[in-house]
Amino acid sequence: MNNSEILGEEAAVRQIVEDDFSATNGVFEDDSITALRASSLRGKTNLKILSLPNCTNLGLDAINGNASLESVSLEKVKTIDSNNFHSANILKELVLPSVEGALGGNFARESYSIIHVDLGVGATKLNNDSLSSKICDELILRNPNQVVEITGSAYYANLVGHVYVPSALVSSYQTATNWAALYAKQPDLFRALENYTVDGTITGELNQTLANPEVQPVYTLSDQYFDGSTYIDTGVKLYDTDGKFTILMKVTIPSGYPSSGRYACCFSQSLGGGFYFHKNANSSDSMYVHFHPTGSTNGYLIDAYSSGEYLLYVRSVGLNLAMGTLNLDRSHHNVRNITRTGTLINHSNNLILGAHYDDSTNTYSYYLKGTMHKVKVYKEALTGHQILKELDSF
Amino acid sequence: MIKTESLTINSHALIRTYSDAGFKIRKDGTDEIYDEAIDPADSGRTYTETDESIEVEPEEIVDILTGGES
Repeated sequence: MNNSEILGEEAAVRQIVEDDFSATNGVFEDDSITALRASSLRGKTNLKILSLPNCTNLGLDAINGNASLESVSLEKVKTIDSNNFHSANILKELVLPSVEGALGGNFARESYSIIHVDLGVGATKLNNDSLSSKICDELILRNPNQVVEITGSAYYANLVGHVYVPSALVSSYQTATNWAALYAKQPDLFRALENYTVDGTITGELNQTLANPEVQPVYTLSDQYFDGSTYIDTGVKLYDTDGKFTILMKVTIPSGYPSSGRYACCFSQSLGGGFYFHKNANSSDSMYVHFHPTGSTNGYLIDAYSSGEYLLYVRSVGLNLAMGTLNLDRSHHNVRNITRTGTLINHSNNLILGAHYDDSTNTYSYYLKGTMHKVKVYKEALTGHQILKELDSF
Repeated sequence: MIKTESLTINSHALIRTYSDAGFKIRKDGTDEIYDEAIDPADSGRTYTETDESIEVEPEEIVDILTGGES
């Protein structure tokens, strides 16, 4: 079914075929457009800013493959067919206040930078593979009357952040079909919409008690080269009693290093079980987090990057860890959430950069050879939104 | 045919329901259609197989043909 059939001949339907938007510096603004035909903006890689204030319908694939798309303004869009906002690699926010009914499948699929999605009161369903970009720190679902359905939980398996829903529906979401499985993995998944703040810095109850909305790191490092034989003791003991910390890092590890079977350790903490985040020189050239609390729960990330520059983060909230790696153009972003067993790590030892410290033998090994361009360590649990905003400045 | 399997995540008992013939399923007593459904084990929800196949979206077809991200 195309847009003409949906909207009838009265609707102003316009197909943008020839325009690549290079002449307008990537800006497409038009208040006469009421609908986008199927594939009308597909593959327009120069498109940066899209503003269609009177558009009410997005056809199949209408906004797809727009690798430079930075912002969209589509306040009146009501219906969204499949594959829209697919592969919008740098788009961070989607606010759709007028959307109604079920969104088409693959909504915002593989758009790895999206961290904030806000769907208006009329949205009722997210179809297959929607938001399967593995990161969405803030999913806002405003429908006050019913749980917004999702057709399968696997695609949301790596949610880092939270889903904000009307407070009266929080318990319903916790037991709703497919949402229940996500809730089982992440007990703090659902938050009351009434507690959501939009100041751009603080979101979520984790930071609401801070008097100063600007969370400050307790340790920073810039432009430090590691020669493969040295390390830095940060002097930071990560844990107090609440198990909250966040580590952000931008690091370059030379191509071909470390040698096969070795590790280049970015940071570690030992005693009573520890963790380390290192590059593993195996065939997949992976970044790897190895975590050994009491009970030996392991978490790991594997991806293959074409360059030696990485953005890394680890965030702890009690026994829940979120670990992420990104490459610099955001075309790959892997995040893994694990719930550790055992107790919080003993904080007697300091966080070490550039090597793995084994407290049982009091030795250092797996030295890093490379450059840490920037490191920030917080004794707070930043939200996923805050993490990505900080990494934007690295 | 409708199939079910038990899952346990973080000590939460869940039950997964799906069609082994690749059809979508409907939650009984509602108009809710799913490719698969995961519910708390004690929810008592039941499902009926529909005659609507789980469609492969165009982007998925490309991924399947190319063996990965397009």
